[in-house]
Amino acid sequence: MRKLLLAIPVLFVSCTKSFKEELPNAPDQLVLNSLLNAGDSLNIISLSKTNSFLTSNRPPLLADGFIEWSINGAPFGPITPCDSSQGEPYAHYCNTQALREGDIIEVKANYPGFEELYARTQIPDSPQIENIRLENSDPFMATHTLYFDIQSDTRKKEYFIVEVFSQTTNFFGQSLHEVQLTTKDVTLEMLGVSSELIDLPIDDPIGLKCFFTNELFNGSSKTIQFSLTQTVIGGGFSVDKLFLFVTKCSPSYYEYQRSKLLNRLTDSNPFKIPVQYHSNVKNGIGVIAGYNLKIEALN
Amino acid sequence: MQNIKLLLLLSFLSIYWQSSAQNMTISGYIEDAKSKERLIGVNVFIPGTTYGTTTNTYGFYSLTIPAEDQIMQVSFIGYKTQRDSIKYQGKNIRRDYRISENVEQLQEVVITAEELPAEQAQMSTINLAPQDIKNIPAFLGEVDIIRSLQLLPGVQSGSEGTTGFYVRGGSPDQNLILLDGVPVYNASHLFGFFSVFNADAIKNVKLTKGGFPARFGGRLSSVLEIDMKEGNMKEFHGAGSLGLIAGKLTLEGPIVKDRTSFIVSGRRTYYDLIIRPFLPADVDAGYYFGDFNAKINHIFSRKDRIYLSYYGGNDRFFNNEDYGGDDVLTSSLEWGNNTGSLRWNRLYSDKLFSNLTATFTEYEFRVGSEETFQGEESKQDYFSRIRDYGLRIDYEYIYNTHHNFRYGASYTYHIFRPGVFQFNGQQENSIVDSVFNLSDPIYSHDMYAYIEDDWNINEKWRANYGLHYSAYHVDGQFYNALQPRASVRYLLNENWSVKGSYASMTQYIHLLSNTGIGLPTDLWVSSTANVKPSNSQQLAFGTTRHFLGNSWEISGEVYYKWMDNLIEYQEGASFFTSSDWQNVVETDGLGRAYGLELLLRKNKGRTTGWVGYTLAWTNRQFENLNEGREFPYRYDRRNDISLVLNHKFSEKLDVGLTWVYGTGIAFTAPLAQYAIGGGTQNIFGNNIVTRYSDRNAFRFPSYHRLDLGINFHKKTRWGKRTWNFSIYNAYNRRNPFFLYIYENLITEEKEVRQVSLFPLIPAFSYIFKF
Repeated sequence: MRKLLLAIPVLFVSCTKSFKEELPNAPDQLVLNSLLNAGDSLNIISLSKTNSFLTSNRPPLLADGFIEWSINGAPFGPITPCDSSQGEPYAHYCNTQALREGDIIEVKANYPGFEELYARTQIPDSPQIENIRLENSDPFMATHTLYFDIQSDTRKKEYFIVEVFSQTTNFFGQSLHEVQLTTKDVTLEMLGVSSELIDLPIDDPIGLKCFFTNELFNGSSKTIQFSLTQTVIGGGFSVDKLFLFVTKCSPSYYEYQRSKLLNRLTDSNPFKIPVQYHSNVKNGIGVIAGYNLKIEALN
Repeated sequence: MQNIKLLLLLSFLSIYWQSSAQNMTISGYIEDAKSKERLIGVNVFIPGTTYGTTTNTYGFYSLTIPAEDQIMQVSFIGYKTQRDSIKYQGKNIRRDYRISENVEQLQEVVITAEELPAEQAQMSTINLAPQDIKNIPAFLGEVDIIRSLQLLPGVQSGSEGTTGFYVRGGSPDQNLILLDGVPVYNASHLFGFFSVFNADAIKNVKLTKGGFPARFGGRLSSVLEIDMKEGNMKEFHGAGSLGLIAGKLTLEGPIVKDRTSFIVSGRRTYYDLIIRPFLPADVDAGYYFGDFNAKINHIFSRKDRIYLSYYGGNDRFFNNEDYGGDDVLTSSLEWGNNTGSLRWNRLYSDKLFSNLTATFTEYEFRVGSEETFQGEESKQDYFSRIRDYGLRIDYEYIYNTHHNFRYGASYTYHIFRPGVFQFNGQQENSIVDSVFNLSDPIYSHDMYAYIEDDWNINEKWRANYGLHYSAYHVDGQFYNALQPRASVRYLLNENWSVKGSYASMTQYIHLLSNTGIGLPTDLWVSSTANVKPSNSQQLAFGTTRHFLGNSWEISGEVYYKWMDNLIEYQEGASFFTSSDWQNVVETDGLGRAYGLELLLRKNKGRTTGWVGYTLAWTNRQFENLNEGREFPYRYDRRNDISLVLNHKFSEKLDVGLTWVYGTGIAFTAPLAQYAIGGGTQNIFGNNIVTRYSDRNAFRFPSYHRLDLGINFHKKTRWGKRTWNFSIYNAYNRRNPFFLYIYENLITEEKEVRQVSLFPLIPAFSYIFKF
């Protein structure tokens, strides 16, 4: 279907030409990124700069920046560059303070010639998951059905992302793969970068990640049911284990992950209205966002 | 607002007590003398006075004047003027007129007018007759109603070549398109390059952009009324054309002379047939569209007449692949409208006219495939549909010289099927037959009632004011809105007027589009408990002046429009969403549109035409789009110029020219690239992403294009034939259709590329009439 729609302009196309000269020149901006998980004792903040959209050069490293942060108002810094920048398009600044649930993190960054960057986030508490069941509902087709209950404090808005990974083994060793999920619960937003997802619709929403907030919760908990398809779980590999990843997110983490997937989903559509990557950095771009990931082995 | 409503109500009540003594009423129908086709917008007036009126959609007029002998004049552009002596006989008079075409003048007119625009209270309206449309150079040899409307100030086209139209900052779904009083939901063929209206079957086209009279409702931005011809009551006639991509034929004539007539008209493209010999033997693919219009009308008596009309149109893309043996894949994409109406005109008295209309309309989009492979069969089918059943009653009551009332009510039952997927499959051991509603069907009840008065206050002042009340019941939710309307005209002198208007409008159904280019995949959806109706308020002021014996006219209008409760797809969502549409829309959007429209036109003489200019701003604002900041609408076009010229050298030869210029379409530009990720998370390998500008912050290059046309006419033994030659995009301007990012995978260099659709395209058509 999609190919059919995109083929239509080709019937009439008279020409294409480069649009280079009409593209606006945007001033450089600083970029500050860090995704901060509860309990992590090594927290890495990256600082970089935008560069021209058309260039093949990677965005420049900024290893000589000045970064400081505070946890619950207690300042710390400057945070010093650490050695993980090689081959990366940004410079890393490392911090070894362990983050706890509920911590409020504020980050400031300075670089000559630019305004001070500022961002703030909070580390969410741990997602509460109960009654996890994995049923092999169709042994012939090797389709698994996963049930679990998730708890929430409905007095405030809470954000969740759920994924399932399969741990597979082949001659290269072990690796994790995201598993396609389907659900009959149409209130859940299922997103994933997969060519199948933009073909004809199927019976149930499908995706690699499931996004939802506690606005959907009936009382304080919600039962979630997914089907895990054989093709993705198997795929010619030996599947050792399945893992349920449940992330309780700060609003910025949630919006950032959504925008990232939406951007990639619409990437090949010439008529698309581009999806901007979510940013919560004042005077610059990027995201400083807390999350709390809980991993449960399913079998 | 409450005070305004109260004032309007008091005004209505007070005028009932005005005296109508010492007056008489002359009423009747005005028809074309040759075909007995009733004529819309004919001027009926007493020369040298301010007494005058025009015929309504059904050719009916009623004029109340002082009870004494009078000379009445009937005039209509393109027709010979008639004068009639009226003797006062102590009672009201019924007088029907048949007027004849003025053949010498016929092709000199560009825009017809109901009456001199300076005299109307209603503003922001445009009338086009089929002849006006046919004089404009055609695209691929096909004249098009909506493409002609796009040449007028305040009406903007969308992307290159498309027939979607945007009125005063509104989106296409904010235009109420009525074909013989029935809403048409998708007015486009071939993804918008042609409209569904066959100009050969059309009698009149009227667009209202603002100052809406109370009888209209249900859309925020415009009302486009298209009336089909009724069919010749006297003689059998036909007309047709063969063009580069399509052929059409119209036949009309009496079934019972002077009582019953018919008209049928058909059109089909033959692109699929032409290209077939050039395709490889194993390819069976193509595209076509077709339309069929039919109408029957019957005169029961001098007081009663019925009309039965039907329109059906369809577009179809198909592709059949032969895998060899019995294995085959067939796929298709099709969409189309069906509309029908049954109308009963009744003249209760010289002063009271009614029209009862029963309507049916549906629009369906369908995409499907059927595959047979190694003995297994499967069939997939996705469709979305909107279907309406409606009943409407309209009355027109000419109370006295000063007041002409219209009132009525309407009920429509909507059935929305925003997305249904069907799958049938047969494998060796099992059969699957399933139907899935991606979104549940929605049933809604849509009602309105209205009253309006065209008030001829005195020689200088005239007003049209009224109330429109609408109600909508859906999903257990009841919405209603009282929408006041008012237009006022002040005559500075007989050729110069100033006008002002206010209109409040409410819209209960919406079109979801994630491309903005009017694809058939756009989804019609209803207001629901979660999605509120959209509202607009529009203020407009203008002036119109005629000069040089009314052959020239200059007019200007300024307007300001506020809109609320607009909806849009969420970022990244589309019609093939795997979720209910209500989960993927942004609601509570705001819109603002304001601007200036200027028109200078020449209506008489060998050379006719106009220059239109629009200076406009239109913005949208949604909490979750563009970080909550207001952004330009995709078709926010700052400057828009249209030049239309026609020159008649002789009875045998005339030429036409159009030139259009518009500020480029707004787009969201890629500004920079930057790194994402950081921390310990970097699941995806590619972590260099694009930073875009604010939504729609930049513009495509400006759009401009010149079209030329020439017609050679010849009278033949059997009628008349015309050869039409036209050139679209005469100086081969590469206007942008869309942009995409091209990346060289080896050098990693990127480039933004512009795709243009139509180069210089010559075309011809052969037109015949008998």
